[in-house]
Amino acid sequence: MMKLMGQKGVPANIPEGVRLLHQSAGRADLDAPQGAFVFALLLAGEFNGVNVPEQILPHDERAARRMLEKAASLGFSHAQQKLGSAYENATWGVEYDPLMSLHYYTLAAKQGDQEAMMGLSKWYLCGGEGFSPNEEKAYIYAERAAKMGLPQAEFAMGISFARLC
Amino acid sequence: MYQKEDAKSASGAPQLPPLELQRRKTDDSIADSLYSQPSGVEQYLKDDIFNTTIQNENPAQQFQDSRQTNVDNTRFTPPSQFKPTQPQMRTEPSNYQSTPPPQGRSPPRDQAYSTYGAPPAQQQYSALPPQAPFTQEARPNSRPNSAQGRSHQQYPPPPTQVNHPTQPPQQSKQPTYPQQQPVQNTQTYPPQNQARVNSESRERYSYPPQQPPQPAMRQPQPQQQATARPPPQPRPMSQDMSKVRPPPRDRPQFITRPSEDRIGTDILDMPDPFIPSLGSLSLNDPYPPPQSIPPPPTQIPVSKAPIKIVGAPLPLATYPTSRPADAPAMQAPISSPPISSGPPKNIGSPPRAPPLTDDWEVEITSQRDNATGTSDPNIALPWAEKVYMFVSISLDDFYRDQDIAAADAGGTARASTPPFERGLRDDCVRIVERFAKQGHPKAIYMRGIWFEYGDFKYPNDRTEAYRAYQAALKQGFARAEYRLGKMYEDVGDIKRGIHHYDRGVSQGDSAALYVLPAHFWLLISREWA
Repeated sequence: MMKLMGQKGVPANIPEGVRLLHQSAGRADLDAPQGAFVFALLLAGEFNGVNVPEQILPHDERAARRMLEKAASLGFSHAQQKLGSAYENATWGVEYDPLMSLHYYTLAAKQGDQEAMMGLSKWYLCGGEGFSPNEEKAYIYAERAAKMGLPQAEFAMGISFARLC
Repeated sequence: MYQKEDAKSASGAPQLPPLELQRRKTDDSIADSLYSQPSGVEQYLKDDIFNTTIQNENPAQQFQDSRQTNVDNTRFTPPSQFKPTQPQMRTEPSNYQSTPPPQGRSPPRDQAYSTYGAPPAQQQYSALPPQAPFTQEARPNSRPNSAQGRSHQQYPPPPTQVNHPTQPPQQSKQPTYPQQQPVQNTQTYPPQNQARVNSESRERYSYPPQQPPQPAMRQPQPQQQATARPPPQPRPMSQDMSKVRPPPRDRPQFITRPSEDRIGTDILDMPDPFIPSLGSLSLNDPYPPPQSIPPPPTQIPVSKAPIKIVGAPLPLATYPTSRPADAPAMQAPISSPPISSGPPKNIGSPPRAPPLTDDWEVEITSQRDNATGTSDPNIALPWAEKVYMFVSISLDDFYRDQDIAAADAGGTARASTPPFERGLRDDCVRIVERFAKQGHPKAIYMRGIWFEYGDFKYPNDRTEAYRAYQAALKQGFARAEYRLGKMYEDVGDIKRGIHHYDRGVSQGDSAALYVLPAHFWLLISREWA
């Protein structure tokens, strides 16, 4: 194993790395769900800095989505937030579904994910199929995200204050 | 030139086709090879001889198999054979009992995982709870520092148990705790737990107890098997496992649910529905361990004599076992009105969504008595793990609101922990402490995590965490390699960190398999460590 290592910070042996990540994704559990999430991102080609050749790991949106769902069901908040935004924007091969988006955003916001809080705030502002708009909740979630330091949420808070004046 | 070549071919010696044809042929062959060449994932899946993913046609058996695999994955990791080269800080006084490593060569890298499902020499863990009057009277000869029933334990394990790894633990001395009815329906919230509240039901130990409603996939099994386990039988090589395999008795009573069409399926119990649709790219373990299936039960003589329980009945729980129906899910933060969990749960049929935290609450509560009363670490420790996750998530959320509100008010006051979470936390700590005292590596490891992060009211003591990880490592718990490597890496000792990661990788541990390529080879962000 040590032979394959480059120096720290030097990418080395991408096929072996992808292989290990696939194994890790298969064995992910409650204690270590990161493998499934990272492998999902690799399958979807979400990493800008990492160029995994198509020959080594083909782009597979469907498998990426399933991996992401696995990571989310293991309680990984980043995966839950990604799935929430996927259901919101109909990316990652999922269909547009406001209720599912709300579900995943709620799970991620419970774990303190700021972007998920902001997504919840947007959903509650405009409403969707299956739930009605709720400006109070929209305000609360935006306020929380803003207090945790998300610039987008601070902007939203500013807009809401500007409207009040 | 062309004339020369034509003349050469006409003369006959090398029968080369014309240049154009040859080029076209090579192009075709390249295209063919491109089309026929499997993708990268298929390639390395095919290359690996240990890839024995079973694609089964029968969905019912597939469900059973995946359930079996999922349950087996939580098994006690067999102790591995290496000796840690790290300098031992100091040995723990007699609380940690390390299993003597089995003799023989250490298996190669991937075969070490192939024996993963087979339980090692089964260690006997005595049942919770460790209350003094019960255990003192029942076992007067037990030592003071292990008064909670070490007398059940056999150290060192007899060689017969080592040689027959499928031999179940003998539970003849264990009292049968009243079985608790599984929650059939998440609509009936909160679930009613009678077993914990009624003190007479604990004292009686009515034998045989009333038959709990079994989940749909299991066949009913008589409760007499609690007293003695059948001897190990060679597993028949039959394909129809649903008929051969007996329903495992000691497994937790999971909530019966129609598998996929609702939110709130048990993530650990859920069959992976993706395998057939994905073809070669399996989302489960690409190198699955062989399923270890308990031997079929044979007819065993059961004594009709009633079980006598010596000692006082267990003291009752002082915490609420479930949240009152009208109480909010969490106490409201001071400044903002309460936010109930977002969407309504049962609209439509969303696919494969993880449970909302309310569903977790129901599930954890329904398995609570089963987990706190059992002596089986394979039931109690996964429950404790889930509780740790649930409680830490909900307490983080709770305190986040409180801190925001307190920052607005200009103070740092925090309300006390809500009683429901406190009760769950104390149960979890009791379970883990108990098994850690008896030397179960996973319990020791969980305790180490709590020491490292200061969770669950543990002191934030990295030295103690290091010691706990080393103790878990001594028994071959591979995840501890990752934690140790991470501790070294945080300190700045990259070399030792990578050394530990390497060893974790060679044992097939998920966390090490992730952290080594992600952080050092592919330069993926370290945000998710």
